[in-house]
Amino acid sequence: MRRWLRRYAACASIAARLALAYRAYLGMSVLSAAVSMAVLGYFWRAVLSSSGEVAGLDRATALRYVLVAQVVSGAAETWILRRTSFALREGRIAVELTRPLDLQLSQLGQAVGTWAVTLAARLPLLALAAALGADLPSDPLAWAAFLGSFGIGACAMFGFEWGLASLAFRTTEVWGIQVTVEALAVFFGGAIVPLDLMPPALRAVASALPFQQVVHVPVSLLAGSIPLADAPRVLAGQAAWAAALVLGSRILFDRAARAVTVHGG
Amino acid sequence: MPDPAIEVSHLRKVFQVVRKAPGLAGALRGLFVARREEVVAVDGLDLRVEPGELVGYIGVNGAGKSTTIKLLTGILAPTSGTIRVLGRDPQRQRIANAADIGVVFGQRSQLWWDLPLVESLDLVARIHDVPAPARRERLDRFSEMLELGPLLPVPVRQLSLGQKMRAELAAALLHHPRVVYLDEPTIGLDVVVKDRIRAFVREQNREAGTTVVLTTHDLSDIEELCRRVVLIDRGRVIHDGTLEAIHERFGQERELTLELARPAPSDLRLLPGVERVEAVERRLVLRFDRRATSAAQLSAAVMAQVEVKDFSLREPDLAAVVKRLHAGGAAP
Repeated sequence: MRRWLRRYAACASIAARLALAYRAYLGMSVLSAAVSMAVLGYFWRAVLSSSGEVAGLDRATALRYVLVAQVVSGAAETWILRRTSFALREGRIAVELTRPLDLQLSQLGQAVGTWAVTLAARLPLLALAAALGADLPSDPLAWAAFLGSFGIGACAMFGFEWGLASLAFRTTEVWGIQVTVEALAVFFGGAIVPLDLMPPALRAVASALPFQQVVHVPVSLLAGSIPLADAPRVLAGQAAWAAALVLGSRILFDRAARAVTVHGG
Repeated sequence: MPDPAIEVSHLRKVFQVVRKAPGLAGALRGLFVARREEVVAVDGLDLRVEPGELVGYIGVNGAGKSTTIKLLTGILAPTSGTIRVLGRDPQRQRIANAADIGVVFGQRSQLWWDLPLVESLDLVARIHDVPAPARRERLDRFSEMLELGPLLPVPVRQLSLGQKMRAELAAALLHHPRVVYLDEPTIGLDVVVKDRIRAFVREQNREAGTTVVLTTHDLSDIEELCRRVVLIDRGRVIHDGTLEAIHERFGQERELTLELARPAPSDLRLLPGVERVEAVERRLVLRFDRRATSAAQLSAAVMAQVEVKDFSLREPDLAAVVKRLHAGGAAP
């Protein structure tokens, strides 16, 4: 087991080092999150200034939610779709398959490494959120629930994208799918508009999609719109989402990968 | 007799390929109707490689060499037939198989382009779970043999082709694999780098007993390294034997080039079966089968009729033999 863990920890280490190697990209992603936090922060402060609460969320909770959501929005990106598509088109999938690693777990390991670096790089944004008026909790349990929920939610999103990546075996080109998923993730994840403020029909759609697992759920736990007492139940629900998506996508991907064709030298 | 390192029986791999008609009309039609064709890449291949062998696996482009390597590494599933590598089915037991093999794809890298070479090699070794002391010891040894020392802190993307290939070779062998597949490892390299790579492969084969399957278009790789050569064409083995056997079986022709005192007369009498290849001014080139005629007999016959200033005898190299084999021009 330790041996097994060491191999996948090496995958996480590779991705973390690569994420650190692309300093400009990392810096720009933090900067763009900061800009979006400032814009949305001022917007929601203006919206909330006229009323003390919106759809059952008090002003402090709503502002905390909106600002912290910008810290995690996009932090769980895996690029699995695009990476799988490139790997297939350029034949690099052949190299991946000659490593003594389970393909899905090695990609998950790499995703964990990337998430760790991205999240660490975004930590200073919490100071910006506080400066913009977010009253951040001091209870370590709230932070633990937030981090745990983000981690499980990110795994659920990984599973979802891994399932979509199996399409790459048939179409090779997945750019359109990737762009659509990114747009849906921002909206239905609750990064711009808290899901609590959405009309019931849209809320129902959001609940049926996995995107909320990585923004709405962890941020609600930190913001306080989901009480900490509910955290075990919420985390268990997220774990069920993650398990279903990771296992389901594994079956889909393995079936597609059986038809893998690597042409040329 | 020990268990074979590789055992392949009646192996067949058929790809489905979508064919589109050319031009805009063809592209439009292709949106609605996809015409699929079957391409047989490997067609009933049988192969047995013993532990510690160094086998040259050669053939022209599209002969099925790389597909065979991908089948042996477990990347591709065979359409039919069986493969056993170190007793395992490489596709069904891909992960266990991958732990015991090393692969170099001449045109694809297993290193991380944006990381320094030393980190890339370290990560490859960690993925293969090589303990830290062994990792350091092998990295030191390989660095010395392949002259990688000054390259270790350099990001892989900044390495030249030859440097990258030396690094790829080190990465493929760091975990001490029992079987190594080298798919065109010297493609595009200069003679000095080729020599270094060949010396390293030879050393690994002799000292560590590593089984090596080498595919290449550079037949001097084969002549330098391999005693056994498997020649394939259209997915089938057309020769499996020693280099000497190939020369013996297919390389019986010789060319005798003579420098004459005067241009060769048109009525010059040659021995039966000898072919006049070229007669330009005072240069005369004759081709003969050494089983029927000896070089001494032929040169004596010519010298009896004309004055000969100089002569040389040329044996066909492996490239010429293989070319004739593929052209179907060398019946045994």
